[in-house]
Amino acid sequence: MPIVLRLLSRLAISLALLLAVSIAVFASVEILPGDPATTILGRNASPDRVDALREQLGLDNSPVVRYWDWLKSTAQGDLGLQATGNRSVWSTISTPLRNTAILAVVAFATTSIAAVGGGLIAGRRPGNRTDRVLSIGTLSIVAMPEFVIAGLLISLFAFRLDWVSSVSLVPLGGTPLDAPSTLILPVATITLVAGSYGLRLVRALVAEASAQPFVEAARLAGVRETAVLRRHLLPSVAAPTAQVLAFSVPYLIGGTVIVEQVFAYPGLGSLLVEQIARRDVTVVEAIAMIMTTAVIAGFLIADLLGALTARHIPRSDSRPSAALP
Amino acid sequence: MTAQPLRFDAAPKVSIDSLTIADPGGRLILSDVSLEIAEGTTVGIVGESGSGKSTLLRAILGAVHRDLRVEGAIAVDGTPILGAPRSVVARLRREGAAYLGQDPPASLTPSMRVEQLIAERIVERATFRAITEALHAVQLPADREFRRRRPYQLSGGQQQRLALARALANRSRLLLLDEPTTSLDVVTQAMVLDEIARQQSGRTTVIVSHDLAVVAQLADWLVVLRDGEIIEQGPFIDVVRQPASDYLAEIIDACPDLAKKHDQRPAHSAPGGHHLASALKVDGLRAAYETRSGSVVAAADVSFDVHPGECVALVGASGSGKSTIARSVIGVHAPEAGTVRLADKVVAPRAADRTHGERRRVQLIAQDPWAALNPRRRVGAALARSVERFRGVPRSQAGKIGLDLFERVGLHPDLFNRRPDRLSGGERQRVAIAIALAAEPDVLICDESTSALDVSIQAGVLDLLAELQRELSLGVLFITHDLGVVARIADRVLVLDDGKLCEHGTLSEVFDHPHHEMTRHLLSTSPSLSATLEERSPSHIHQHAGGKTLEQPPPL
Amino acid sequence: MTAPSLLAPAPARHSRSLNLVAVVTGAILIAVVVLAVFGPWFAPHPAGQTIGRPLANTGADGWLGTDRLGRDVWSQILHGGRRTVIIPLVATLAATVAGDTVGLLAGRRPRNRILDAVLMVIIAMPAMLILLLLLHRFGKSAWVPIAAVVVVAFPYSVRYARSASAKAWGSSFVEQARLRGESNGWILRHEVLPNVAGPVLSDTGLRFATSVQLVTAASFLGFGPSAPATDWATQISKNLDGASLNLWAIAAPALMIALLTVPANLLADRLAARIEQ
Repeated sequence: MPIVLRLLSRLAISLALLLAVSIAVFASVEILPGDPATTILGRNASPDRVDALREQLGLDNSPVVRYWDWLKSTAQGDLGLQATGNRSVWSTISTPLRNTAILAVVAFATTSIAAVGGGLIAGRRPGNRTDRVLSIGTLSIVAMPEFVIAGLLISLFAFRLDWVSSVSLVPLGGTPLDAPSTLILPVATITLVAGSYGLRLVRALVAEASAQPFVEAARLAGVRETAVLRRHLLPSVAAPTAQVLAFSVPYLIGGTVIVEQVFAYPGLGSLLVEQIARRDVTVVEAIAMIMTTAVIAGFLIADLLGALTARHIPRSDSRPSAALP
Repeated sequence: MTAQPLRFDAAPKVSIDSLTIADPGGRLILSDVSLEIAEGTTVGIVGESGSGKSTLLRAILGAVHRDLRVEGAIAVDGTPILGAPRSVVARLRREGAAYLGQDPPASLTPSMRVEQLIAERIVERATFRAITEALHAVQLPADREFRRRRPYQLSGGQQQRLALARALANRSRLLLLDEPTTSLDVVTQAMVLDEIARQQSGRTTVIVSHDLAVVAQLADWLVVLRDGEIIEQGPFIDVVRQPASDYLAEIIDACPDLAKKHDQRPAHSAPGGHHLASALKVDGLRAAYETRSGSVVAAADVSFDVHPGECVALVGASGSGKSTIARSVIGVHAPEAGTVRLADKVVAPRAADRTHGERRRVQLIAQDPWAALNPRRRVGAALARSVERFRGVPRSQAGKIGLDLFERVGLHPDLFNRRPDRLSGGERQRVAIAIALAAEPDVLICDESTSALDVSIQAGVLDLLAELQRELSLGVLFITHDLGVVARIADRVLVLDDGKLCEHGTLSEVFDHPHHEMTRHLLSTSPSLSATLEERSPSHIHQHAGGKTLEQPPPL
Repeated sequence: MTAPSLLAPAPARHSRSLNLVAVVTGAILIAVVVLAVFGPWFAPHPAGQTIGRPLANTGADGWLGTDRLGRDVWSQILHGGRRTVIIPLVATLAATVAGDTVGLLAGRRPRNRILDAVLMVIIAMPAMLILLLLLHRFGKSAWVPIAAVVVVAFPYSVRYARSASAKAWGSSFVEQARLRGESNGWILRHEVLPNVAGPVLSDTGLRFATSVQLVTAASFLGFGPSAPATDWATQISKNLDGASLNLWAIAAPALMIALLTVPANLLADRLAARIEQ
């Protein structure tokens, strides 16, 4: 298949996926049994107020119509008004979104470095001491919930050693980048968890590639080790590694929710938890769509990178068999 | 370093001095191996799986797995290799030796271009001219377009040549070959051996193989390795003509050789033999199979029959779809057209639509005995189940019959309750035969059933099949690419070319008077130990002196 | 051929020390589970009882000190274990039954676009988001995290069980079984399941840690049990602010969770490695 067609088909698949996810999100928030208006206002709310809210949310329309309206306005970038209160959804989420984006981008960078670097070191010579130590270490880290790791990090670095603050105080009117120290523990937590997860997958890819006859042949041909890595090994793991990193995106986004809560970091995750407690349908939907869009975009970019870099590599059907996040 | 520097301008000599290699459990992989490889000679190291031959070859490159324990010494041109500093080993691999392993195309990194693959191995500056020379040396084109290609854009033959060119691009005088033609079809194998032979002059060559007939075409000195020990060694011709060890004699005898046709039983003229109903008759079979690159026609109007008590060989190049024909016959591949008759009765194309009795009549023994046996079931239980289903006997009796069959195929009853992973390849293949016999079939289809086995094991399995065929009046359809095996077992031969039967006849008709070009091509490219020996009559060979051969004209 | 590859995984020369790892981790796991299940019977103080001033250091008020509300940290640990262990256990079993059944059956025809699409939709949604959406819809209940685990684990266990069983379903020994006229049920029982049971079991083990993560995350985010009922994650979340005064108020429950999930993961991984050999 010509490359352009392939890219277009990937794009189409991603859009279809996004559509399917939006249905899932909408259904789980609004269509499942129970009345959202009552859910929002509580059982003791007066019928008048419930009716008013039903009106505002358009609940008297059929679910299909409501979904269509919601999809149309969301696709046009209009996130609407908050279900509770009169602020626009966008004004509520824009600052947390920016903060989370900063956290996620920095964490993605460090996670990628840890996953690829560690995976290369561990997988290059499978079974040696470094590999075994990294294997047990990462397996232990991925076993622990993020908040446990965060709790242990706080205990050690914030309270015991007093190197950093346990709370991420973002300067008023500024961004986390104005006070980079606020990012240290959150980023470290996410990197440990998502990085360990990614490292294990990259390691498996590298170990598999190391056992390829052409890598072994290169070593027996006396090719220098750095050249073996660069010329022979890396090209064949580049595309699946991109996919592994993409698969760590949902993980990373899930991680931000917890980490923001632990460190009181003013981001999208904290807002989501808060709005869920307040039962604000529209904000929850908006945040859910932003998160899944980020995930699907990550998958798409990885797919495209894979398609571009791996054109000459015989297709193997081995997607990273993502172990459960 | 006080060691004298490596010099790579002349063909080096390799000396191996009481080399012993043991695995961490203390099992000896190589035991006290001493070997002098003289400058400019070609040494063939022959051994079956587990003999330690590949370990020996890699040890010359200093490539011994870090968990193995090593004693003894290896020197290339006087420079010690084992235990040498990494830089010495690296230099030997980079400049002093060319290594080609099994399946040479697999050594080509798929993301690299032809010119990169060659340039990486050139010791001096990789100039345009140097790359051209390296490519021309193996008769590959060297134009700009070709240099920019990647391995997947080359034909199979070009990949073979490119792998050789890459190995030799450092112009080293030491060529190490580890089963370079195993898994190739005979035509490609002949091409590769030819090319290697052209590169031999002026080089010291070590070739490791399980196939005596392949080594015969190249080697002037033969080393026989068994269980890590050198059983015997000497000038190739002398040693093969008069083997000193029983082991070598046995291997020579077991070696499939198309010049050694078996004493044909007059199967056709056997009382009523020919006039009896055929056990299997295939008419106008058309079948295709799918690969990644599209559909391959395996059979375009193929017709043949198999009589009780005779062995019919179906011969064709690898990938020509012989297996698809077998699978169509047993009903697990849907053919596009054609009929299959069992005992003169047309049966449904799909096994699911055949009766139990019809399915019983034809049994398949596949190439890979690993895949055919459930790793989690004891072989005895699998065999008993087959007896139970096909013969309709109660379970208790099925076990007893199963055990009888087990012994019938030459297996010790102690193995009855083992899982497949605790059996050797030959034992597993015998189990597969026993399971097939449980159905009391009329026809046995053997799809490359012995090609994964060592020759001595293969000979035993072939003998068993011949015996069963005789005693049980079994019709056997033997699918293979190995004409040596055909010579050993077949009564009639069918040659498949491009989905059509291009030739058929009795063994001697086909082998002695081939009509079709494909048949002649297959016959001429099949390695034959006896024929090669004849060609290489002693007058062609310069005198061997203490393992040194001065010069050797390229064989062929 | 016969030569051990230069790059092949090292033979298990440390098998003895690794078995030691298995014994030690197994012992820790059993100890933690026993402590969690029977802990309430041995707790020095009833659940939720205040025994002294808040966030007292270790020593005078219990050997791990007190939490924000002056409750004995050690007693809270003993009271909070049951929920932390049993809910994820139930969730893991439910997820295994759901996912592996579908996967085992799907293995017969592994290419199923509809199933793949459904799985992909779930994979595209972060686990935490699925959990929060379900919490949003159904409120605070122990069943919500269980349901979240089932949904989140579903695609992964389906894919895993499917690929494990597809290998067996497509094998030539299954083909042979069909040729001798065996029924699908017989083939599933005698040819497929024995080959799939081991891998699925070890996979279930690895999933337990994930279940703990999701279930405890719900509690940590404030959707856990209401006082006086408690679990380890709730204890961490409630005491984060005061941890500078008594570190053990968060470190102890964090360690307990780690001592539950890390050995479980290491053991399951050992099992998986052994099966693969």
